[in-house]
Amino acid sequence: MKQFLIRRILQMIPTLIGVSIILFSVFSMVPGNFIDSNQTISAERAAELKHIHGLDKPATERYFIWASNALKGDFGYSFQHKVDVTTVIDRYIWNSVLIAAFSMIFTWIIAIFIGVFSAVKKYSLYDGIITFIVFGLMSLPSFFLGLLAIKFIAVDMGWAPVGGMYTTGSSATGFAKVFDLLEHMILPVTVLTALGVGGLTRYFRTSMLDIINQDYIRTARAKGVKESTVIFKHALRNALIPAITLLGFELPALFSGAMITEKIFNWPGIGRVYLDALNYRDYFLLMGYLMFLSFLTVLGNLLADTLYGLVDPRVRLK
Amino acid sequence: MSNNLIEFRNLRTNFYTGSGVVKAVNDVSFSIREGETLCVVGESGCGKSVTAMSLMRLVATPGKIVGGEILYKGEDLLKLKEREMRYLRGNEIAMIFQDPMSSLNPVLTIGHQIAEPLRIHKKLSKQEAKKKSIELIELVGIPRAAKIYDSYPHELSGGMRQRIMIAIALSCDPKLLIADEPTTALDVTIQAQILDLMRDIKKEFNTAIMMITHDLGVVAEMADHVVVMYAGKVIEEAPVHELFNNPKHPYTQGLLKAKPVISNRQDRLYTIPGQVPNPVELGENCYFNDRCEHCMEICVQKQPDLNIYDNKHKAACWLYEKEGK
Repeated sequence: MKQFLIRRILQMIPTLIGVSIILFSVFSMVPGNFIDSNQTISAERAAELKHIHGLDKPATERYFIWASNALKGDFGYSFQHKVDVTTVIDRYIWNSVLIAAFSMIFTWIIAIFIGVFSAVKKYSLYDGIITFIVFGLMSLPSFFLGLLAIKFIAVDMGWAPVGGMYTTGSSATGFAKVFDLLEHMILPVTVLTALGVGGLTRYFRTSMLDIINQDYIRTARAKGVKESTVIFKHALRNALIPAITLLGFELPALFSGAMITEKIFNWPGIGRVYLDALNYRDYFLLMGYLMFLSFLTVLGNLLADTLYGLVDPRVRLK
Repeated sequence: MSNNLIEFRNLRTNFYTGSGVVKAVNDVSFSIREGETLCVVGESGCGKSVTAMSLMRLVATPGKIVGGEILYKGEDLLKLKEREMRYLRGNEIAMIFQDPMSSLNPVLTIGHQIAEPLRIHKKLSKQEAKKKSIELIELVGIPRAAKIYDSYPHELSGGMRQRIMIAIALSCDPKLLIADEPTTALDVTIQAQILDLMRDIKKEFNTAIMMITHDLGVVAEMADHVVVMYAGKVIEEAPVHELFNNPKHPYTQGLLKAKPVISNRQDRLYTIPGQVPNPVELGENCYFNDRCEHCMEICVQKQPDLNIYDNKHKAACWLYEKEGK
């Protein structure tokens, strides 16, 4: 097990180096930069600024400067925010994690239950209705679903605030502040959950259908095991194994932010910041953020592979 | 005949498929006496397994039991509530399946899977169930039982897994053990061991066995009584010696002729001509008529009944009726 972990961690290094090269080349091939997009400064000043920031050097040299600084934990300076990239990411990413974590928990719980029941009651009316709703929600674009949610939940019903993270001008502290935050989370979390539940539900339904027809489920029934135990102990445990791969992908998803949803609900998350950074050509912020996500993706994969061993005795390393 | 343990009376189980209704079990009646081994033989798709699954009331959709009675100790199983039926499953009527490789749950330990019926039906505590499980593993002839208790199915060979299936089936001392082709997926030496084990168990616990097979060698070795099925119907039923010595139905005769005989060199084994009929398009005739060398006019017009002849020998064939003579 220890050997496996060490080997896998060492394998992460060339992967990440490859990712950094691709990232850097793509961004250095795009014409223009933050200084070019600023129309208010003179050509001399622009050249001076480019020299200060090293933008006049050849791309390969710039890559090594950037990469060696990144290794030390310095991902450069955000032109747009006028602070270090790491500071910007740290400032906004936790807001994104907050809604992503809540919606992820809801998505998985709802998807497991709906998926299991529509597999057990295959082709029934319940299965049909659920499939219809879930596909509908999955197919709607997030901006449309977001607007629908604002119209019905926030405006017509008044159950939740329209957007933002805290009530403007509020000086509440302690519990009141937490409650205010939770209220503002209702809409973005609902929309993200509605968007995510569809695919996962189908996944669990298929996985569960596959397991329910296995011989060992028949064996369990023939032993006189209660149907609920058959489903939730004998079948679900097996059905969840392939889902672990998905769980590995959820790690980067947790931190990546939801660009459009955050924009619609005016949520100060990293997704929205990323979208703005694209418009401003704030390359260091973009590269730092994408590098961070790549690292999480690779780590998520490692985590998934390790979890497999814990859940499935057949791949457990002795 | 008063000590009938199980009595099938005109059982009908249909499968409602896209291409039509398949009468998988079509008016089947026979009984199993206490402590008796009854073999059900027939080729694939003749309704042997569905008969057994109907007895357990575990016929999977789109299958449905549409008629008849299954009496267990005089009580109709088909009228029991699901909860009462569940109490019988694994407790008084236990079942082992064809493929031991896929019949055990891969993520649960062997011990857990043996202990489960003990905890459900006998209400044993965790320690008692563990003790009894280890005894059962020893009973079915697996050494190092305590270590096996904590193993997972993938760590065991096919023969060992089938022994574990038998241990699970025996855990609550069932009155009837249904064995659905228990040796088909095993190699020949392991087959012999498993059959020996089942015979020992029958002797020791006086368990009745309903053995489903298409291997006439297994029948000769195990059975007291034989039921031959064809296309969802019982076509012949007799004590084992009577059946082997004096088969009545042309299908049974064909099956016995198709069996290789040691010391009798043959270039080619006998095969029954033709194919099993499509189960969707069965009419009111003898289902074997197009493959039968004795086929008469009446065979394509009317279905023969299962009638008793000498020596408790039942057969459904016009050859033995006055209409056919």
